[in-house]
Amino acid sequence: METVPKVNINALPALKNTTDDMIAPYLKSLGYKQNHTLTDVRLVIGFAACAIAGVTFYYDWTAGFEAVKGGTLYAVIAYFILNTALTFWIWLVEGGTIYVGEKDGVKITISTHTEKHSPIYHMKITSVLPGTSGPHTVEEKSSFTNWFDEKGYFVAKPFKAFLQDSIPSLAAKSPEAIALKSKTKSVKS
Amino acid sequence: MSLLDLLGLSELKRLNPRQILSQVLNIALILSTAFMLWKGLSVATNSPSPIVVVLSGSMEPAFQRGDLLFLWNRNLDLHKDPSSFGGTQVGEIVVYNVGTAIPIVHRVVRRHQGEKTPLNLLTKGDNNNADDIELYPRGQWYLNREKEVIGSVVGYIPFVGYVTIMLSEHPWMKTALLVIMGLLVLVQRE
Repeated sequence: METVPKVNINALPALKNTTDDMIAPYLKSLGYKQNHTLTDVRLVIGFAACAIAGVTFYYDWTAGFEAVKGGTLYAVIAYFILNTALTFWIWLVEGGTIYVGEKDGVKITISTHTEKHSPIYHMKITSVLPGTSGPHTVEEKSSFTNWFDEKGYFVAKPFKAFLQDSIPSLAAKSPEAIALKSKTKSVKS
Repeated sequence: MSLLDLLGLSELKRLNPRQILSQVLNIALILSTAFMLWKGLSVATNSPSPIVVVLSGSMEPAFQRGDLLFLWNRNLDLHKDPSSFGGTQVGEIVVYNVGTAIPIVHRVVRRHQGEKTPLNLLTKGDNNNADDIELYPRGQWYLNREKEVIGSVVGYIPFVGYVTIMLSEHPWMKTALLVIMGLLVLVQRE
């Protein structure tokens, strides 16, 4: 039983996050296997940094500043190195990637972004097909109004059509995609 | 379910474990970054409490209640040649901790070497009539610079510390502030 999410249509992050969240379940239903490495590395770096801070807090609290200040120095250095690594990972490695998955040897990576004060969903899909050289990248964009109604309820059908239309390996010529192709104003760029 | 809806947190219900962990991580990183910045400053200044707020009027007119003070505790120079006798000088304002609940900010009015301690200080509040011997532990006539002083004042910002006075005198404000900040972090996914 799937509940239909409702968002504040005036909040761009809510529109983007809700839309992002819809991609993985849909691709899963099509048989794609999601790869969580990017997220897992981020979580490991982040929680390792927090663990250092936690241990520092414990010793500082129980033994006092003077007794442990030598160790505190190294903990502070290690913490900020990890924090820098985390920032680097989020900005340069993840870079807005919200999905990495694979099916039958086809690996797709999807990253999305929005621009300030613009209700347009930008999606960049990188596919690696078996037997081809190098990744194949397409960029698509479409207005959030295509899959959110005026009350802010997410409407799955047109969004699935947009995905099928946008992701090359999904171009299964499903009836949904063809029927809605004229409605979703996707722009090739 | 209805509770989350009432709080405007219904979005949380849709999150998968990794997304929940990511949100928890966001909160933990904010708290730990604040803590580690504080500890970094402590280590850099060699002071357990490098920023303090003035709580009393005993140093008026130099400092008012609510002033934020920045401390430096690397000016000890305890074991220099006695003829040069470096370290904290008369006229400097120091913050010390002699077992009272809160640290005290007062000016150095006299200094001398002790038999066992290389640098001792006598302090007095500018706005007080008497020196601080009354405030020291019974039978003690001086401050041990190394053990009891947590730093010399090297800079200040007027009034901004009043926020913390408000928060500590009205503890419910602190709780409310923490709860509000926590909820905001939890709900916002930016």
